[in-house]
Amino acid sequence: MSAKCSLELQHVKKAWGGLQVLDDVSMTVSASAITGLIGPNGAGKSTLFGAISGNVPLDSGTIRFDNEVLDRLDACERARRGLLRTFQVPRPFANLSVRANLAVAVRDQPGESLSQVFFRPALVASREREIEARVGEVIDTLNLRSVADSQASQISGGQLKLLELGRLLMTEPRMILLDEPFAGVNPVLADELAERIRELNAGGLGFFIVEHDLGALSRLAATLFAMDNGALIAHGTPEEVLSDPHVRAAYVGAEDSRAAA
Amino acid sequence: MLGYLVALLILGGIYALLTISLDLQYGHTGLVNFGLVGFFAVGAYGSALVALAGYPIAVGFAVGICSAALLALPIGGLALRLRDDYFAIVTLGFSEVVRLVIVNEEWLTKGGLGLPGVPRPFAQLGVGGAEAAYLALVVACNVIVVLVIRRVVGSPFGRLLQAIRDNETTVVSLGKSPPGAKVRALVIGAAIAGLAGALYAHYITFVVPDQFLPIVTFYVWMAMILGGVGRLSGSLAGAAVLVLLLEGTRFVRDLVPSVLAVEMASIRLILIGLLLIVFVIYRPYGVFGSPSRQ
Amino acid sequence: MNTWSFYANLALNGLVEGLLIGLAALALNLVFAVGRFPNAATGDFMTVGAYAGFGAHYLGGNIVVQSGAAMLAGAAVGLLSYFAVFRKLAGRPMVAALLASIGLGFVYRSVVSLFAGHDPRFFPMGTVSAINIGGVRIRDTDVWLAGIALLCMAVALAVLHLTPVGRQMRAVADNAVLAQASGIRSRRVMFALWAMAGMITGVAGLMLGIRTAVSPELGWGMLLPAFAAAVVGGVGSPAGAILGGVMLGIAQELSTPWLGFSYKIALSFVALAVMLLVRPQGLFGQKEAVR
Repeated sequence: MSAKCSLELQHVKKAWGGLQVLDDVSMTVSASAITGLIGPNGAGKSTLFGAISGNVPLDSGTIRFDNEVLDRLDACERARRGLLRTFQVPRPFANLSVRANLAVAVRDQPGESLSQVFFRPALVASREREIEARVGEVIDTLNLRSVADSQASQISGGQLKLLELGRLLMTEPRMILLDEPFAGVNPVLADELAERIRELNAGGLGFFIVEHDLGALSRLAATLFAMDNGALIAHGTPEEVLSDPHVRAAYVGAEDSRAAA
Repeated sequence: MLGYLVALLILGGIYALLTISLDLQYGHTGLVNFGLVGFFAVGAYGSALVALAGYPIAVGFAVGICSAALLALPIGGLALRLRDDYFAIVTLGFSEVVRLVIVNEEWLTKGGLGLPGVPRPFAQLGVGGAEAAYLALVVACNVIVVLVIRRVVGSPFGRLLQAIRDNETTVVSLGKSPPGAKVRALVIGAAIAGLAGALYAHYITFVVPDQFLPIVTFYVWMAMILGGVGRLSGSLAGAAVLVLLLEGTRFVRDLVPSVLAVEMASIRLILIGLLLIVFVIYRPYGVFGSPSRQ
Repeated sequence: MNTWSFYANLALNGLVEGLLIGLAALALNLVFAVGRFPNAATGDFMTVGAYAGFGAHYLGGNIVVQSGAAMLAGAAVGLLSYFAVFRKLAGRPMVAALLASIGLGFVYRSVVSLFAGHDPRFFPMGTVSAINIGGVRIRDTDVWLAGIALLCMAVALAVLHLTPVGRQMRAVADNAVLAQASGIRSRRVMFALWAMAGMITGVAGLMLGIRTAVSPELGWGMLLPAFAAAVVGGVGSPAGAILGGVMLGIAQELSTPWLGFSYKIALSFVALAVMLLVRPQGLFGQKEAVR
């Protein structure tokens, strides 16, 4: 992964139900740093993530990842290129154990081909051992050892978020889009999560994070983008963006309309 | 008495294969297959036709199994992009179209009259010996299928199937493609159902379209739910209970001779329907399944 | 008789059959949109309605009385099914309700068979009407049936669009969570839904029974065409279901010279499959997740 690898959006537009949900958004996000995306509710942040990951089709505009145009690639193919995302509401495989949840994320498993299962059992078995080892590493990294063998439906919300992250790590990502990773997570777990993100970033993994917890995000991110009403209204360091009058107005405006309602 | 027990076990073994087939497709992969009887029918008719044309019974079996498996491919291709409810109705339609073709293409299948005289293997062993040998054949098939399925389910492929069942969109977002795995699950299940069909045809020695009505699909659904969705042992147990139910209702007729055969069939249908409803409402994981499984 | 009148007769026959399919598809559509599952017992609801209508006929009632009986019986089984079974499955995955509806269908079919016997019963056939335009013949019973069907459809659509409970049904169909949050009492909506769907299927069953024969297996054969019509028209569009039914009915009849009578149901299957592949939201429905 070159140091110049980045995620570029150019004049991205999306209208829905009469609203311009994404209004000519252009940005360049480094794929090796931690970048944040903030904005009041309804600003279009989740839609932007959806557009990047391929879940939301665009009306116009281009998205490039590492200089490759993503427009004609579907969500599955974008994921295969190392651009992965989490969802606001975690989607674990409820009936699989935490270990199995992690194992299933690994790509290119010979064991997922039936012919290999029956005709090359030794190969399948050795790769499984490798995967198990890697699963163990990720479990240790994310401190999930206590629930490693529990079913995903039995673990806490915060642990589910860690599991989501862990699952992405198993796929050897190049850049991860995190959708509100701290929402509903208790402070202790949130700190742990932030630590992990920092550690992983130190290892070269880029993050693009949507988050409402401005404090946590400003401690993590090197750069922030701010959106309001579908448009980009500011970007820069956390200090710059949070003191930007447009950004403050957007948040206060949102609060005002909430207070009035 | 012993002869009757052997017959029950053979029937139970055939239903066990059907239940295992459905459990792979629904219990492990989440495919709501309402057309199982279609694959059963293709296996039965395929094998019967080939054997009646003079080829060895083993060839008949092979043709039955392969035809059922091959038929799962277009069904898979069409239906796998559909949501649960649409998939269910489309597969139901498929099995009815299969039956329709069997009824109407009389030049091939003798239509509603059916195909009598399907050869039974082991004829040289005499009546009692042939039955016992057939039971051994059915048991052997079950053992092989159970071993194969256990291997499949315990492998990374099986893990992928379960992930697809639990949350297909997440599987896609991880960069994996579910349709291929789902088609494979459907095809393997169809092959097993085809095997069951061939075993059935050569045991009963005549095949008739009325043996392949949708009710058979739902017998198997009931057996699977009753025994426990997603567990091999559950499938076997459920099939056993199903056969006991089906045969048990015949005993009632022997005890109360004034009950007509037609009425017995209706009572049996009511029983199956009620059991399906009751289990779906109160014990959807079955008697032996655990609540954390869906 | 020339080719034109031959095909015209087929088309007219198909029109009446299509109205019948359309009725069943309308009921299926309503339950699908508001109750959120395909009711596989729809066919067996029809069977019950047909027998009720036949009972009314047996007791001397005319076609209006028969229709009334069919509607009452249909509403009764609809409401019974909801209160005894489907209500308990609210919030469960759709497969549960679908499987339960299969079970219910079996129960209704066999109960009818136990009480009324397995042999088919026949309504007296209407005389071939005097209405005869250049070889195109219309049976007077068909005229009555078409009239009743159209009346039912008009009433159903009126209820859906003009009454408060109908508006509530459409709100629930659009967005159940939002509807509940805005205070729509689901009890009342569900009661109206199942009563209405039951009435419509009851009449459809009576129509089918009059045109063919009344037997326990009557309705099951309609399930696939009704579903195909609902999909062709577009789930979520009641008028679309009716139109889908009419189109399917006419297409089925017009195809009989080539396909023969026995493969009519196969046409439904093909229409269903093609529509789901090519345009899953049907001709008139909105883009809903079918895949």
